[in-house]
Amino acid sequence: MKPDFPNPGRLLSLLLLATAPAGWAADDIGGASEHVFFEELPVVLSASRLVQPLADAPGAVTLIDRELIKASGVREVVDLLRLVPGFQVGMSYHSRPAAAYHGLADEFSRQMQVLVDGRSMYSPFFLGSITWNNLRLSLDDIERIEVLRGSNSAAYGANAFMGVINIVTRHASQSQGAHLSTTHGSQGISDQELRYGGSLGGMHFRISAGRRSDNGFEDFHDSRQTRYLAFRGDLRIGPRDELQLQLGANRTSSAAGFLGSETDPARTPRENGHHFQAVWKRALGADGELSINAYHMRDARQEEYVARDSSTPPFLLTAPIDAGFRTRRTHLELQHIFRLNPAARVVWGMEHRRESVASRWMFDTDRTQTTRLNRLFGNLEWRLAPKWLLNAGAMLERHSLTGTDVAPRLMLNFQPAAGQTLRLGTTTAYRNPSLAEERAHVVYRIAITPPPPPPFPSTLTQTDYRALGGLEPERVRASELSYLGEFRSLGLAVDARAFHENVTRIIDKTGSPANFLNRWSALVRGLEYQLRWAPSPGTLILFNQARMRIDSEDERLADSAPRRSTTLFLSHRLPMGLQASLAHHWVGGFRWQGWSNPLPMQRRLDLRLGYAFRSGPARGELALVWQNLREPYSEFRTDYVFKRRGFVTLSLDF
Amino acid sequence: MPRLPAFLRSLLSYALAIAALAGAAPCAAQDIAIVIGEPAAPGSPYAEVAEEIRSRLAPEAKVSVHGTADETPPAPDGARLLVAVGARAAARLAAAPGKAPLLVTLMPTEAFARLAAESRRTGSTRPMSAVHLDQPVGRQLALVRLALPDTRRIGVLLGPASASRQAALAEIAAQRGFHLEARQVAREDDLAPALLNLLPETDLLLALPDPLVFNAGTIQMILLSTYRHQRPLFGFSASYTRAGAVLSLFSTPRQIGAEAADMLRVALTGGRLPPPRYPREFQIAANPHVARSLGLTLDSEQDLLQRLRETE
Repeated sequence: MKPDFPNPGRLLSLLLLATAPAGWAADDIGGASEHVFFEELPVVLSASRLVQPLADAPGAVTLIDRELIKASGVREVVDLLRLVPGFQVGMSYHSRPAAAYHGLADEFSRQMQVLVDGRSMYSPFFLGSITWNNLRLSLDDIERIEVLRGSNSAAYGANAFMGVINIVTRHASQSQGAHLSTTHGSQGISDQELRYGGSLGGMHFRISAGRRSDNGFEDFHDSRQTRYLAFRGDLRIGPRDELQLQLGANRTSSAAGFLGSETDPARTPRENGHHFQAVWKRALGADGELSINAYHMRDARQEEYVARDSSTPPFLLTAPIDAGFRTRRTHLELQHIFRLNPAARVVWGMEHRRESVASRWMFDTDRTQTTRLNRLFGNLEWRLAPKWLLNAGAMLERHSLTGTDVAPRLMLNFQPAAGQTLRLGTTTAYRNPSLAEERAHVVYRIAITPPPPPPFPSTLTQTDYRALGGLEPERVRASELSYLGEFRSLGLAVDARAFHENVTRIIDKTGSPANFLNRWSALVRGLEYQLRWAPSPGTLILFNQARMRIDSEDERLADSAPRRSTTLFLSHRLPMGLQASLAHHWVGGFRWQGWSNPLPMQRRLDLRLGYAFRSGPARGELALVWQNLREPYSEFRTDYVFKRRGFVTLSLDF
Repeated sequence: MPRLPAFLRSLLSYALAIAALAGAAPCAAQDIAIVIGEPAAPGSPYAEVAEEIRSRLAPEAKVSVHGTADETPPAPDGARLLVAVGARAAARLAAAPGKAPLLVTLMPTEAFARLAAESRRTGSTRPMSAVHLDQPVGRQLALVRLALPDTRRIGVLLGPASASRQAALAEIAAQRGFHLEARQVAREDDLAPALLNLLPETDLLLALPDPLVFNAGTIQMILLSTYRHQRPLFGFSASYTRAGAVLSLFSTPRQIGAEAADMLRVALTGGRLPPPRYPREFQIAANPHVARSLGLTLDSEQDLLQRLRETE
């Protein structure tokens, strides 16, 4: 139940009333008259909708488009990152996906920012994490994913620490009609999707609903089931203005605890959340834009259980635990893009954000913990000479926990010939400590039955975490030299990035009860490259490799990324509507931070076979996917063994 | 702001336009009578065409400008030559009795061909000619060759108003070394599937005026689709370039007015209107930002215009 969920129907009709387009729609008197020549058209490919040419981007970018998403056969966004050089992906315990760029990461994926249409998926709860299971979107609603490899606080603020994953969903006019899809397979894999797109008044809309579930790893209590609902409406308010509305909600139940454990008993907590977002954009000339992005999101988890300990008979120790929480985020952002002169373009803007977390377990109080964030950012894209492009930007950020920081960036792109780009740049980025790292106070109140004889007390308290606060943000100073070669006539693009990332003030817990301190530093150096070759329209070949080395006084950090990882992806369209694709990953041994142990080298081979067909007005596809066709390997921990999985997907569009 | 009822507003704009354009010219025997098809506020394409004709011919001929409000007679009396600005005026004048030659402006080729056929069918003897509003396909393809020389496959979406052009288009494309890939669309619902089917088979989408296919309501879906498939759109008005087309080729109302004035001058001296033709002058609008985002580099509008003129 979500009593404060806005009523979409009422809201929609109000908006339509307020903005019914008057006088600019086509009114033709049959046949092509002069009207089609003189009617005013909306600015569709506005400044923020255009993808910056990779050659002009201030850093390395991997673009994942719809074709690749489909051909990869993945069921969730995080698995797509296996196709991006420098990333590590693994499913950790309790079906919590972990992802990292250049190591240093645990199961919470907190060294990167993930945005869905500008909404941050970085949860303020606990240590901070990306809520991969609660993105509230269907893969088929995604237009493209821009993976910005490398630190990016200058444009995306703290937490865009090692990289940014920018998920852009399709404009509602692009997903019209009905779509159905169902997936079934091993390990209890069962996914269903339903979407309808239409138009109402001047608004295109789509509603997607879905359910995703699986049983996770064999022999572990880590099944999950997510149900989501997502609405997107795109409304034109005349030739220059457009309004985008999004609503979403999810209900997730994912396993927690361990079968047979008394202290961490198997249980199935529930999570639910929703968001509301409105984005208004006004096109200013051919290359300028003013936009306002406002969103509000809430997430909550219900998890109550009793931890027991019967290891000291006849006494039984019990502790009731309420591990539930509520988080809220309200975000308001203004962005202005304009051309300063023919050679220079400016993007600048402001953001205000308020976040709160209420968790009795984490803070030993019912009081809501609140943080506020204000940001001012700007980037100048300045063509110094026909072959030289400078991107100079910075973000000034004031956070109520950590004070004021400035994250600058300077990137020089040299384009000696068409399709050839060399980039040299440096930037500083931050990761703000989470509320828990700053204020955690985890106390368990334990009852002993039968009550022991005096002088022993019949209740105990045990404090696991006592954060003393005063942390500084983690900081990375990163430099890169990179090359982008685009050979259009061959359909080939090569992107190579040499990086030097000096990470300091890494936060880690220590002592008993545990406190968080800025303890470590790490130097990440290496080279990664990706090759993308489309020799013919139906064929795509990707080859990625990353080699890196981490030097740190902390051994676990030093081992937190594979020395070498390689991916080969092939996709080919065959006759008769068939399409085959293959992904082969080789990942060297490494160790995640957190509750994990050293992993040996991983080899994984995925295969997908799709058959597209047409039946009356419906277009459909039947796809078979095998994940890890070869020997089992371990993800995240050695006992989390990924065996061969297979599933079949039937999708219909009409 | 309080708004006037629509009919009052249109009446007012007629009055304004006619007052502004015709001044105090008496409606006695005229050399040329221009009839405007729509409420023509000053600055509108209709007013610009009429104003250009008037200013170019005023020294040598008497020119009057009229509206087509329902209460006025279908054709002004006594004029030697009639000019229709827009489809509505053309339809009225073609159907009106009389033998004064009619020059139609601001009407696409296909629509004029239908009007002329209809007029002949009803036994009218009024000689008719036209300055076409659209651009010759050969000129559009010449610009594609100049601006985007890697283009081989030209995609077109044809609706009911343009379906009959497919064979002719394919022939012109083939003559110029292109391959034409066409899809017919009968209903608006078929548009998105047809486009998705067409785009992978093309290097560029050439927009051809057809109100079922290209209008303010469909342009969003079309441009977003072409953009996702990394295909440039070639438009037929400056508005297309603003919306996101990489290139547009068109003649401005002033250029069309100038062409019409040239044809009228011939008729005034020789007595007959020259056959229908396209304006010789044209304009190019390029969107370098979209082009760059698609990985294309474009020469400047001026440079392209210069080189395109040289090909003619």
